[in-house]
Amino acid sequence: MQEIIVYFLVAFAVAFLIKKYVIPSKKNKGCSTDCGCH
Amino acid sequence: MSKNDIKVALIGNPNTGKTSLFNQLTGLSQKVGNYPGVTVDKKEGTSKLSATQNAIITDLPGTYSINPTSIDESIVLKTLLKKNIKESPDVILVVADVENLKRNLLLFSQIKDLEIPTVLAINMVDQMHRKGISIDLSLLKKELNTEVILISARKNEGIKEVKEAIIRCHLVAKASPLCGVNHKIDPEYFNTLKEISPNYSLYELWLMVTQNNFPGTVTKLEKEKLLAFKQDVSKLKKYQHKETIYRYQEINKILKKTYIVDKTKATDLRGKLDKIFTHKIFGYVIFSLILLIIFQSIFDLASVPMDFIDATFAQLSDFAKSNLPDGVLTDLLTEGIISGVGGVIIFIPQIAILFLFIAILEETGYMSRVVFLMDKIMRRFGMNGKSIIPLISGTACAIPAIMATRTIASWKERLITILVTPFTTCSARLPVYAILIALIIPDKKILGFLNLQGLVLLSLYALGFASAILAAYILHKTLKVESKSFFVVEMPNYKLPSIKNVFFDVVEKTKAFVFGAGKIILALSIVLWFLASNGGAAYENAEKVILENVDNQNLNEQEVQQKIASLKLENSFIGILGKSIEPVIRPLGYDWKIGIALITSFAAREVFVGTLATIYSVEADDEDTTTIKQKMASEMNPDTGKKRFNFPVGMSLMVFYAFAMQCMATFAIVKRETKTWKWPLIQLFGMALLAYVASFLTYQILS
Repeated sequence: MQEIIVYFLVAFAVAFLIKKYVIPSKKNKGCSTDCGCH
Repeated sequence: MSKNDIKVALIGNPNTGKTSLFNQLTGLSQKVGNYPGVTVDKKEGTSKLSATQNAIITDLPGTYSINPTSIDESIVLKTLLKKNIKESPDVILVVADVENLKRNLLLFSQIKDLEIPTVLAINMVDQMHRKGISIDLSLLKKELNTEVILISARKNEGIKEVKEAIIRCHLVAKASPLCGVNHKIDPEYFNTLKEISPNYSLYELWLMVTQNNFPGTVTKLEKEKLLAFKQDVSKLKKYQHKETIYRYQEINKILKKTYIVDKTKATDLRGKLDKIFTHKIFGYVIFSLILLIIFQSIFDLASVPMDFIDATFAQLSDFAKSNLPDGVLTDLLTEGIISGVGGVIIFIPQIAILFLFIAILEETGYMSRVVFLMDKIMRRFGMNGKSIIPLISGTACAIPAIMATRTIASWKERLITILVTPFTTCSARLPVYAILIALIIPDKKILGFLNLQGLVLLSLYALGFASAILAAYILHKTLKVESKSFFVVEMPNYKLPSIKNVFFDVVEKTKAFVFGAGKIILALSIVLWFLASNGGAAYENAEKVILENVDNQNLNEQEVQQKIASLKLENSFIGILGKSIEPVIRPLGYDWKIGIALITSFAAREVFVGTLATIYSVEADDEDTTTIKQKMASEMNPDTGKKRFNFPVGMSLMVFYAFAMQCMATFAIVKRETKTWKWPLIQLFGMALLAYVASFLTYQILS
């Protein structure tokens, strides 16, 4: 069971990083201080 | 947005308190500052004007007139010339500063001539008495033929009256012009212009001609006729000058009757303070002292809460190990997530202190004096005084700093400022510097009161600033870009910092750092842990290899476990990746584990500490409950038998991070602002090369 949760978390983390850096969202128009940062 | 909502555009000169009013009207907490150029893009919010009426408020960048000189100012012109029902404003809310009403009314008079219903909100009226100012409000309303409201956006005074005025103003279908100056200049010329289209006011058509800005609703034929007016350029310029003169004549006439300044009642503290803060010697001395206090405080005030957070995360990891069932999920939690996230949370106190000082400097109005002070220096290096705002706000984050360059009118100066801003030490570098300084610089006092670690940190900030200036000079001499340059800066009044504004600013920026970086660090910690806990055949056989070889070495159980963990890490997926780049980074004094942190921190610099924390946690034996700092301090170099993070390696790493771009978000924003891949790529590789050479020299000289 622990292994399944770990694999799920790793897949989720990879998907998040890909979405963040490989396919970035184009919704950041009209932002001000720290949008898009980090 | 409902069909019945009133669309209100908030317009005014820079630093008149537009964003403060926007926040009061909408209940939002957009960044405000007592210096010009805080707003460089449009922001929208909803305001409840009455029980049945809402408004969509758009906060626009500050501008002195609707003849734009920079990108942020051109946003105002584009908004005003829009004619489609969805985007064109129903009501314009002009915000003016009570002390500079004459200059502010120039913009108001232009907007009024567009024949859009307009409300004038005169802000900062809480200072009227101290400045000896009195206004005949009813006469001013009559003379300007508009709704005029006295407000203090900071003190939330007059906001209800502004809302009521917007509703009343919206009922007026079309407002009358204020000056109608064009007919005074050349009636025949402007009558011909007006005949081009009945859909636009005369002043709108005049702006299209003078500003070369044609909304999409203009027909091809209309555009051709308008372009014909552009042929005689000298005539256009002459008429524009005349227009400004007529407008000021009209404004002077109105203010003579309605606006009185009693100089005997006014106090001149501002003038005295300005003389000191902008003095050619004392000005720089005071600025340097302020910076010294900030960096001393970052170390002195933050040490106790940082040690507490570090110890708490070590205990949390220990608690999880002792109380959760054995298994991979527990390992992920204790070795990956807690260590990685702890690597960012620990820096909250230092970052909050830095943001607190910057917010106070902005709020008091001191920042504009710094801009003025630095203009002379900046100009010599190919930038102008306005470049100092991006360079200073770059200490928080390069993203808003690069956006803030939109206030710079000259393209060449703007481009140079964009290219050099990432040299400024941003908050993401602070965690890297802080942990390395704590490891290699002794915690002792110089002259009995100056913290040595704080001085080193100040030197790194100075290095970042000096690099930016030097790079700007080189770019100024080498870039073949033609553009005109001029510098106008608003000197705001000195104010006691608003606790509310400072508090929100610090909270918002710290939240952006923690949650923005935290999400990435959490995700990277999970991926890193996975890559460090899995591998090929060599990884699987590590335990067997060690057990076969330790028989004759007289090692205790803990030392054997440590050896197994080290060999496993070396043969894990992440170990293989780190090993592959080791030959390139070895001349800088780094091993493959630091190499992994260099790769992952390309996403964002602050990931460096979290990555090392995760790697060392995976490598440590199960009983290890030390803090991040202790883990890094005890890491040994197997080749020399000495500490890995010794003075040459620590300095080399700090120099690397001082020069390397190492931020994907900055790369993306530079591409967006320059509208080409050329500049961000030059910036990325140029900074990487500089970082490599500088850290190579640092390591080789010091070791």
